Amino acid sequence: MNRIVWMRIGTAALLAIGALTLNGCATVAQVGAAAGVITPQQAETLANTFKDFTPENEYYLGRAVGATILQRYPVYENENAARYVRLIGQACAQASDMPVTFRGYSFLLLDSDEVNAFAAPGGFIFVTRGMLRLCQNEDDLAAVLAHEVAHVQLKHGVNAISSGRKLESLRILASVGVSQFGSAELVNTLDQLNQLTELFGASVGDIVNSLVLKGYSREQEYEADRVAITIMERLGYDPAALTRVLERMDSKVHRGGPGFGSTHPPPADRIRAASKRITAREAAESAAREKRFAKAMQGV
Amino acid sequence: MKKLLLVLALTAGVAAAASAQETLFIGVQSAPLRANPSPFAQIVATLSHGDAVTVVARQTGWIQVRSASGATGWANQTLFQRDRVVMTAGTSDARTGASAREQAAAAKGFSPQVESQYREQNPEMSNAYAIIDRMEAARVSEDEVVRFLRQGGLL
Repeated sequence: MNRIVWMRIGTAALLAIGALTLNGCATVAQVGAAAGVITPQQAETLANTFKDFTPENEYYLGRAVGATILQRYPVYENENAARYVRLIGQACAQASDMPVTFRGYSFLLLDSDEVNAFAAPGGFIFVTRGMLRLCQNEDDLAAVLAHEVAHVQLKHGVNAISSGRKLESLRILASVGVSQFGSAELVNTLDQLNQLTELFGASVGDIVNSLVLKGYSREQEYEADRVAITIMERLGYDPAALTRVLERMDSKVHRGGPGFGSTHPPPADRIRAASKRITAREAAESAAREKRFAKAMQGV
Repeated sequence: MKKLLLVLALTAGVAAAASAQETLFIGVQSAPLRANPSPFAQIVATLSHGDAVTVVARQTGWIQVRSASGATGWANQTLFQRDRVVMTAGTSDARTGASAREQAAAAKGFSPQVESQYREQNPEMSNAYAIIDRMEAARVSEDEVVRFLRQGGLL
């Protein structure tokens, strides 16, 4: 991502904070009380109704996060490999505890030597060519995709949005609910659209910052590894592939360099943590898997 | 002037108090209900965003529901939401000067309208959004996934 875009995101965030500070944002109770049409209890019910983003909210955030990532990375056009990744990725998604997102999971390959993968809210998953090259068989690739699906299931992207910003977005939603019960003129919906769009841009900035620049927290990565192991076990893939991929990363990825190495905890730590979770088992040998992996990865 | 009247259907507490039955709404565009609480179990019905369902039973991470048409099946709990925001044609004069488009945006939060305004403000993202559309269009069906898994000695 170029510097200009990052500045834009930063500016949007400042604008959003400024707008909220200057205008204030009526809480549900405040709007309700002003209207005299709902009780504090009813206002509380409304607030609870909007306590979290819906799958649809996450979907639109994910599209914008994905589009922002695509300003930094070109697409790797290789339909054989892309279809193969879609099949394994979709299988991992369906075996996860969030099998369906608002419009379903989608997968895209990025043309970069960087060893990296990203998961945006709503199930938009990106895998670099460098990451594909790191995988030596289908189970390795399943480990990478299961880990990314796990980030979606665990809502790590949405959780990267600053809590104040998230609260304000949800409050705007709730205040509209109040207006429908009382008088619609209480709420200037044009202002709300502007506020929501500013909050939207700033939220996208929060997520991209976490995903691409800072990386998720160490605990979030361990958590995603744990969920990935469960997904792989449910499908019949060898969960030990996760530690193999991490070991390979440990030897190939330079810490402090760009990409995965700079945004993830040291693989050695993750290997130790993941290994404790993996039950020794014989993964079903499959000539068919080896053959299709070799075919799909041709030219990658 | 006929405007879109936004109707917020609240269920939490309200519906539960009215009857012992718990009502939930489908939170995703297409939600398969399955015969068993298992990821690849047979699909018995497919419901749409906003459809109301009645909770029949719960089991770690899964909810068995009955649809308005009487279909009963299981789905992962993440497919549901507790509230529904629906738009119906009405005669309410909102007197806000805001268009139906703006009201819909505010009611639905991060919505197509918010995305539209965000894209107007960030025109350099147009190509990237076109790639996202293409990414979404490239899908594999559940049948293809199941065949793929079986062929690979999985599942």
